[in-house]
Amino acid sequence: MSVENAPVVDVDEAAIPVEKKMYYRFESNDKKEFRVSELAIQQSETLNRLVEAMGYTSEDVENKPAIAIENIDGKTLKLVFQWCEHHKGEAIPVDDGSVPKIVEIPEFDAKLMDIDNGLLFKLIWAADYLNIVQLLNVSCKKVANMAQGKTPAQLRRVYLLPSDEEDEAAKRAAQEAQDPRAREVEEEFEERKRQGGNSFF
Amino acid sequence: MKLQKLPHVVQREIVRTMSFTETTLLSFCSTRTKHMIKNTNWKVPRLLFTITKKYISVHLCHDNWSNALSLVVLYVDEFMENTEVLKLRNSSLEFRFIKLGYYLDYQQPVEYYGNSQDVIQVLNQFLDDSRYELYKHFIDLFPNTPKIQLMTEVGTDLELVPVPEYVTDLSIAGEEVDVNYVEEYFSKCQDLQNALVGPEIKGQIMENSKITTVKRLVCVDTKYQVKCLVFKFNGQVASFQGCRCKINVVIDVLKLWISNEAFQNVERLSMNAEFSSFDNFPYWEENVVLQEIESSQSDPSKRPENCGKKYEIASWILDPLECGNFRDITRTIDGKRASFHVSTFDFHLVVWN
Repeated sequence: MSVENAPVVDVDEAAIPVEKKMYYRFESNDKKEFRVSELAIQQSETLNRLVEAMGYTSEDVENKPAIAIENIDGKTLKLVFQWCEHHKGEAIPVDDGSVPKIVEIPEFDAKLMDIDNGLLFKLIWAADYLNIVQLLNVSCKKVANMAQGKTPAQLRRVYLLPSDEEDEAAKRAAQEAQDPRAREVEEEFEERKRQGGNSFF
Repeated sequence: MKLQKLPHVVQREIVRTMSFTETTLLSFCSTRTKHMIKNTNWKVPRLLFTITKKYISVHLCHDNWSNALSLVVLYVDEFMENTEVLKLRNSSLEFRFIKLGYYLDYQQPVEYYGNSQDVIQVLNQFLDDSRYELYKHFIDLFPNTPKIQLMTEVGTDLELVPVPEYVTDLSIAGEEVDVNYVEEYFSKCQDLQNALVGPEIKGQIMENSKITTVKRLVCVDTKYQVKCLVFKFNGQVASFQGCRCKINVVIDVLKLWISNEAFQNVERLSMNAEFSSFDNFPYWEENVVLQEIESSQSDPSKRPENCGKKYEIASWILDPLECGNFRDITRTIDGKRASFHVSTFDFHLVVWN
């Protein structure tokens, strides 16, 4: 996809200082391209370090291929960059280790995250991967809020939590898949026990 | 939302932003969720279990004692309708969970003073085992054991009140309590550091009683046991509230400290008077004390404005004392200094380190 046809994130250019007015190009794993301001990129520790290491000039940004982000699709990346552009220039919060952690979800973020759980899952994953601290905070808070007022059974449904029995069955299945002989040995052992054998060996 | 498919660091952040109530209820979902919570380095300043004949209430509290969670474990002959089954790993006990709304007050078959809606039900026949199971469940949630306090209502069968080894703070609540009951209860604690006795103690308090040898003690309704309790107290910090006695007791306390005949370990001792027309005891007056006890006005240049640390004794807070108008006394044998103050209703003694 050409740069001209790439989905461009809305940018409030007046808010960007002149010396920071450089836009990097990123490409999602489904080949969607985005232009993101340098100031917005600073919200992502991972991307910020990446572009600093690359040391691109304005010409490089235009002439070299877009920077590929291979683990994130275009739909998710669009949300990520929309969030970064909206919060560009804001200080990155420092974790004071308090529990419970107090996180407020601003109106913009609440609207941005008014999405299905599948996309929210990807957004959280992307925020973690790109190390966008505040986006991770608000998206985690959104997931935490799903638990409000729920009973344990409702929590299991909301978070798709397997029971202990289901966890154990899954573990057994995984072990068997890794070592089919283990199951055979176990069955043989059980059979011998039923027949009254004292020793397996 | 598949919570457990998210990276570990994300799971941790999600749990950290949950309220204590949701986190606690999540811990009952499965063993994995319980481990997940523990791995978030979940911290709660205080965990208070209140044990009565009919229920246990579990309070997770913030530093300022505001309740972050109140959960009631209710003992029933049979489970209520519409309850959810809760299973704890390696436990054959069956627990049931229900949320009781405020508007369903009539359905709450307990004289519960809190406002919790979260109720775990346990059948009466499993009362004994279930208490251990529940303690264990809660304790296992924390990588570092929080400050745990047990409060027991008078009349609860003490054989069914387990006091785990990590508990150092015990309280007892009620109107009146037999001294033997308190002794038995306190004896269950291997390392009793702080004790709070809410009810009036009935019966004779013996020498070396568990009550008077505890390190820090609060008696809320001391009444006529004041002499026994105060003079036998051998710990570091004590507050005796509702004392019914004449000022002579205060004078004797000071004399005993000065002569080193008692209170060798005391850091702070406070008494609060309760007067009634029935006793006809005169109000306490500092002048009476000063006539009997040799003392000097505290020198503000040599003393801090506040004396005594802040103490927390099984949920009872003793704030530092303003000592600008305190009087200084000296222990004869070693020259150790202390300051005291007497007012109509209060007496405070603080020993300087």
